[in-house]
Amino acid sequence: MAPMAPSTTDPRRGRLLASLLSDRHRWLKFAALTVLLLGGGWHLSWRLDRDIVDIGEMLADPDAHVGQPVMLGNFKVVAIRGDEAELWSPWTPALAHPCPAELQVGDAVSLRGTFGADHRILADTWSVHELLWLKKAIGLAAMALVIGLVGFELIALRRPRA
Amino acid sequence: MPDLVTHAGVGVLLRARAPRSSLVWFAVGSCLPDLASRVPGLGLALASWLTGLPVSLPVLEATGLCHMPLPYLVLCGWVALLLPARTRATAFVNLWVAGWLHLSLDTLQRHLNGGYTLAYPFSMRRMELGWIENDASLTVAPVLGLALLGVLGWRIARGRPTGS
Repeated sequence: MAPMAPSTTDPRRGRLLASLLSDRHRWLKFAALTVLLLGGGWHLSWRLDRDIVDIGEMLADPDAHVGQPVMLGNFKVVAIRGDEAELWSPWTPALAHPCPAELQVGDAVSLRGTFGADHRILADTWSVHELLWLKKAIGLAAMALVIGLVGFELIALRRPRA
Repeated sequence: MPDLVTHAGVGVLLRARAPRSSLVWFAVGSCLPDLASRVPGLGLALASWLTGLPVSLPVLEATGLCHMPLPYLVLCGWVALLLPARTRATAFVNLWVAGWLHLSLDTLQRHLNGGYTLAYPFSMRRMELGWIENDASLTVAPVLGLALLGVLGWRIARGRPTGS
C-alpha cells in the first residue's frame, strides 16, 4: 500500500482552533485561561522563591549567605566611595566592589558576583546600561503604537464589510 | 532583549505583504511578550516605591511568565477571546507566531543571568545563544523604526482588511 502523503491543511487542526476560539462557552474558556495564567504566575513565583536567594534576603541574614552567588539587574548607582559603589533599586539597596573606573553616579548597572563576609558584593562582572533611557523611550513609543494599532483594528472591524 | 522597535520592525518587514489585519496583529504580537511581562513588573516596582511596601524578587520575576513560549501561547488565546469573533483566529495565529519570533530574537543576545527559561514549566534551565551583545540592536533600531512606520502607514492606507 502506498504511503499517504502528509496533509498540509489538516481539517481537524482547523476545527480544533475554531472550537477553541468560538463564541460557544467563550467566557468559560476565558476564565479557564485566566486561572491558567494566574496559576502559572503563582507556580513560577514559588519556583523562583525556592531556587533564588535575592539580595534583600541576604542582607536580612547576611552571615548565613556569605559566599553565595548574586546577580543584580538594573540597579542605579547612587554613590561611589573609592572602589565601592552604593546601588539602589525600588526594593533594596546594596553595596558592591570593586567598581570599574568609568562608573559614574546615576548609571544603571547589572552585575554578577559573590556575597562577601563584609556584607558587600564582590562583583566579577559589571554591565553598564548606557542607553537604558533610549530603550525605555522606545518601549513607551512601542506601547503607544500597539495601543494605536489595536484601537485602529477594533474600529475597522466595527465598520460593515464592503 | 532587543528593543521593541527592532522587534516590531523585523516582524512587520517579514509580514509586509500579508493582509492588513494579519499585519496589524503581527506587529502587536512582536511587542506583546515584553509588554505583557515587563509592564506588570514595572507597575509592581513603581507601586512598591510609592507605597514603601516590599515586593519580593520572585514575585517580581514571576511577572515575566508571559515571556516564556508556553505561557505566551495561553496569553494569545486569552487576548484572542477578548476580541470579536471575526478577527479572533487571525489575531491568535499572528500574535502567537510573532511572539515566538520575538522570543527567538531575544535568545540571540548575551545576558548576565544566562538567558531565558524557554522550557518552563518543564525546566527552569536558562538558555541563550549569546551571539550579540545586550543593547546591540539599538544600532539598527532607527532604520527598522523608519521601515516599520513606512510599511504600517502604506498598508493601513491601502491594505485589504481581512486575512489570516
